[in-house]
Amino acid sequence: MSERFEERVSAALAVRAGDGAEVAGMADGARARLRSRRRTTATVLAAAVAVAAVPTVLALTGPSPDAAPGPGGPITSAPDPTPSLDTDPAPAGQRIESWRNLTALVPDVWTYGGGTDWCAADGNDQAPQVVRPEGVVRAIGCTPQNGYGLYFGDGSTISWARESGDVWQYRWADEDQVEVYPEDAWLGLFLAGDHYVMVVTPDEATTREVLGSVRVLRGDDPNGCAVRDGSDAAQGDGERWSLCRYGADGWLRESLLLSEADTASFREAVSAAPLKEHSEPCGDQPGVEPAGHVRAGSGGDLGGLTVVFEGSCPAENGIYLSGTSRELTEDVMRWVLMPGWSGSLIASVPVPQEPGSDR
Amino acid sequence: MVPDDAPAFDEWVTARGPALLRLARVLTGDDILAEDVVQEALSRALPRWSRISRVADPYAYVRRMVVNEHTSWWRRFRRRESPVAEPVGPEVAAPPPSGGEDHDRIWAACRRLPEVQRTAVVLRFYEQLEYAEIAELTGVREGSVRSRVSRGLAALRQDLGQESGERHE
Repeated sequence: MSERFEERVSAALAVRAGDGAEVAGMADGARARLRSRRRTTATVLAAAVAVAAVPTVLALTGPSPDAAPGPGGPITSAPDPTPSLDTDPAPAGQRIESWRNLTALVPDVWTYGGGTDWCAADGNDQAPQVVRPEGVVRAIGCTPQNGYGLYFGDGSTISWARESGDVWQYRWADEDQVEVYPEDAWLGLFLAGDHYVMVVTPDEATTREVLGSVRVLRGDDPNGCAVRDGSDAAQGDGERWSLCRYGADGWLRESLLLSEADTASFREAVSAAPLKEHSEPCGDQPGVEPAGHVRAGSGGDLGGLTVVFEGSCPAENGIYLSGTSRELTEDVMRWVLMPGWSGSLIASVPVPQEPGSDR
Repeated sequence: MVPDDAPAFDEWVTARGPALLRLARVLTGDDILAEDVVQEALSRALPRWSRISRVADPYAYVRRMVVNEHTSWWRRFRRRESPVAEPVGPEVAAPPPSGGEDHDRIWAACRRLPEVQRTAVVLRFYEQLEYAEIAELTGVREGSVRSRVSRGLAALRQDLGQESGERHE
């Protein structure tokens, strides 16, 4: 009888799914959608005064990438970060995620988050996410406090009860006052000086695999982005451009290596952006840090450019390349608002149109 | 670079897109939303197509993206609503499905299931996946999947029994 009911459910779902499905134009629609990539949950950060024009000099703070690691555990050397012309830097089914001087390989289907997504979900139904400190909003009363995924972080103020490389199963009653991670989740920890990576998945094998991919960077990450900001930070790979997002502190926050086709589309978007008109200078704003920005290019200044979009003053935001300044456009913003970005934008910054009214 | 024998993106979408769209219909309960979910997943697959086309089962890979995209949409939608005791679906009328009255009633009951249970039920009884496959696809433990399917079926039976006054087994 139970099987018969299940058969009825199967039949009802099959009828509802329908026989035909019109997919004409869907591939083209996907291409158009690629340029209007939706954002994940946005949290509010303090926007800062931007620095502009090439060459750009930013106030760099933070530890030197060559500094000796702290007592966090074994440090593995970085693999050759130069991507091949013929192959993608990441294996099939995986993608590269970098933050500061750390890089890891995660399953390609993992999403991005760090806000209240987990808290809105029911139990363990959330797809694992890559979480960066800039995107985290601590949801009070959320249980568990964090979901599955990979967490980058600054552990300089944390007293670790574990060592780098440890993998263990989480039982919150044994470890914390509140449920920090899903019960029975498998956790893996990587420590490198003040920085850490925490991997949280439902099974041990996946945790070990992701944790085992974590590396400390000494130069460029596999997507061609320098660990520390500079005018030649985006190295790319031949005809493929790197998109490298840097924080106000000069540390790498996120990287992407565009395909040749995407690089061409991005360059078209930049070329189509109007030249900046004269606008009121921003003036000095004491106590305000430089804004984060994106470097893009392939091989230093040749073709490289800087996109500033988190400035609190309109005159600071724009596209800067070889002495020319262009206005931000929606098309350009679709590229520089990278999947792991979270932040606030002033009203004059064009926001890519969200697909669909329900979003 | 895509190997010579790897399917081009457009060709693959023509061949397998209909199956993805049908799955999305039963996941979302809405034809327009189903197309939106599939297009979004395809837009994410496109820049990685050279890699995806080389995996052993590209359809399974993109299907997982569709399921994740649906889950992401549902969470965003629910956050915009006032908290309620039971999660409800979007206020978009789905076209009446063809088929008998029994199919209509069962589908209506499916739409009343909590989202996580409906997703598990759809993947189990429409997509005909094993529990382990559903677990891998949704990123949860197999035990959780079994629990969701079991609770979902129990909820359907109760819903249909209350609706008709009869007890279905």
